[in-house]
Amino acid sequence: MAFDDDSRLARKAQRGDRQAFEVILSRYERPIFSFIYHFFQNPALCEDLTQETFLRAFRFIKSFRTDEKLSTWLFSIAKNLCIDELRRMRKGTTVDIDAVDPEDLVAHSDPTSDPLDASILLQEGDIVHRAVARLPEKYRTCIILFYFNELTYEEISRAMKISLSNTKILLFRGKRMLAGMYREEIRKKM
Amino acid sequence: MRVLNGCRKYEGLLARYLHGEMLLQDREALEKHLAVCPDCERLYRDVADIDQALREYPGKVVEPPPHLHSRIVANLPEELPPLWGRWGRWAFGLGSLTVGLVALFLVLHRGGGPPVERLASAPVPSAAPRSSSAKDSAAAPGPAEPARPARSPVLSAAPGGERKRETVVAAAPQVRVIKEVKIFFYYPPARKVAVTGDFNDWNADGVPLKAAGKPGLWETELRLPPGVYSYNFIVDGELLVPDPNSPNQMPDGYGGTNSLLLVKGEGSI
Repeated sequence: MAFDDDSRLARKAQRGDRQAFEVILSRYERPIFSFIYHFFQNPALCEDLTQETFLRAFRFIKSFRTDEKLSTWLFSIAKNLCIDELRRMRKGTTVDIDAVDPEDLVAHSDPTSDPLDASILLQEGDIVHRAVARLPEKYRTCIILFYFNELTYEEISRAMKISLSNTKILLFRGKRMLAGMYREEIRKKM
Repeated sequence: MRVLNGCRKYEGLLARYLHGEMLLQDREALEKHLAVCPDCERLYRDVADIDQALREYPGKVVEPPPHLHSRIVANLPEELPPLWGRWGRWAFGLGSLTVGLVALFLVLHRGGGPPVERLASAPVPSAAPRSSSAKDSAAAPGPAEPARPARSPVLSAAPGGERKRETVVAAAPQVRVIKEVKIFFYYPPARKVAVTGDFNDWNADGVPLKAAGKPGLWETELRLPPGVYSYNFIVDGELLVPDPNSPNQMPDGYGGTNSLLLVKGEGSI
């Protein structure tokens, strides 16, 4: 069963095969856990949300259409849970971070300064990683799915239910915001 | 970043340029622009550097703690739904369902009320016209009603004109009654709403609701044979949303909740 492809496993799970679901769990707990980890960068939170993702997938397995990609479906559940959690965390605040103009998040740095140095970036990869968790949710989801979970544009557009061109624009703007945040961080350190 | 304020048209081009998918003429235009616009050129390099840093980030895969797998397995319900799906749970939940339906029936017919079925917690607005016509009752729920909580989803269903479909069988004609049921959902934060349930075998896309003309109010019409259906809403393509305040709900047996829709048969209206 461990060698069954995803859609066959999903069909078995839909017919009530619990073992098939456990194989799905083994196959995807790592990528789903990683996604949630990068999203919140809070290990305690990601255990609970990973569990909730799979419990929800189990409960709704019958609504999964086997002509879709199982991984995309699971990421979409995880993404929804992360966003719900984020909204719970933000409850009481009036700022809708997705309504913030990306321009405002980007540093207004001196245009005559040198461009970012890739070698510094490599050494300071953690700064960029930390900045990812500060991105507005849709940019964050997109960046994590593309760079850390290594999904294709098509898979991301299906998981996020957005168009392909929108996916690319979100990725570009997300990186633009990251570049601004990175500059801010570097300036603080100097 | 101010750099793009005068160069917005190049944003899409830059995004595609970075992903290596661009028409030759666009590429030439962009490269020409980058050569003369230091701000855009710097933006391009910044974003390219971030791209490289993200691609080369070493900690992409994070190992879950070893106990997580067994913890999840231990928390899975004993079994998946049996082949006969939710109907099986109907059998198990028959007792409580019967009680619920009796209560629902009593509520609906209190004072010999007209055939407007309220299937949610919010009270019927006193000013709302009570009418047996589906169109009239469609106007009843609205966002302006003061008693309604701002974010509470509200559903009402009103059976409209019934339609009879005859299936000619050799011996005797069988008449199958199909009811037209208006579904309303009041939920201002939603951008897209669909309804799914027993009636469509819990289809993941559901039946889309359209804006009902008032902000936050959604509607659609279903054609269903009389019976009791469980349903939930799909908001913004996400997972199922039951009405948290509706008394007409039952557990789905998996930790979630289904709302109930009663479509009355002939003679019961």
